[in-house]
Amino acid sequence: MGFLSRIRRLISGQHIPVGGIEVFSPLSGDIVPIEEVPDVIFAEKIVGDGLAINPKGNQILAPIDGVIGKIFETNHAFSIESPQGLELFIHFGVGTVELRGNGFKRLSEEGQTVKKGEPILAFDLLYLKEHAESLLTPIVLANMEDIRSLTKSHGSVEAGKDVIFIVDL
Amino acid sequence: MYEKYITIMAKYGIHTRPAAILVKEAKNYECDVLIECNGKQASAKSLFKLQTLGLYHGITVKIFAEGPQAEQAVEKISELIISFS
Repeated sequence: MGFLSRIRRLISGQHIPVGGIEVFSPLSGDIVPIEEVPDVIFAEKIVGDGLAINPKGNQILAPIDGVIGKIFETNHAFSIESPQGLELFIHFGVGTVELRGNGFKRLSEEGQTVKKGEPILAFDLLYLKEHAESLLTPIVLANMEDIRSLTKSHGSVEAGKDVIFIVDL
Repeated sequence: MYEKYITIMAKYGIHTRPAAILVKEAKNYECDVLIECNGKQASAKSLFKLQTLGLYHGITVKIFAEGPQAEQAVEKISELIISFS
């Protein structure tokens, strides 16, 4: 699949920037290694490689220009595909599926084309602090088979302003 | 081609955790395993595409595969989906 999608992208003439594709932070907060997320499917990179953010604020923004793939009906997670072929998955906290949408609000729709920094979901941090198992929010690349390298940032980040990783396809 | 129909019984549907387990298992097979739901289909090897199907509680899906170990792959994936509560 990786090979085919690469060919498809070559044919479609998508320009891949020299030096890699920058992915911006969808949340303000502190970067935490993905291995520290208290859920094995993220910590062991089964969903994909990336990092987590210990969030502040009240909105999740588009980390990159692209098309929204799926927004979970409970509004706690979504996926976005960039024109160069990155498939990013953002999952707010751990155990948040069980909140059945409480604490979250949808600000965009599935299939919508968005620009980096556009708000996708809103969240109530106080409510979630009290009710979620963990607030650590993984941001991962779901199609690792298409990716040559991933350079991760560290420290504090501001939503829509700071780069969290650079991806080489 | 080998196919099977099953109904999703998992309380929250095939959300991230079960989907990730499914993808991990599907990748063990050489053949592609496809899941069809409401007229849309996706590879069980792609978490991203799987999530666009809307695999909710109570929905019946078709699982099918063609090629090497198609039958084992479909049986294993079906078994996994049934095991999610």
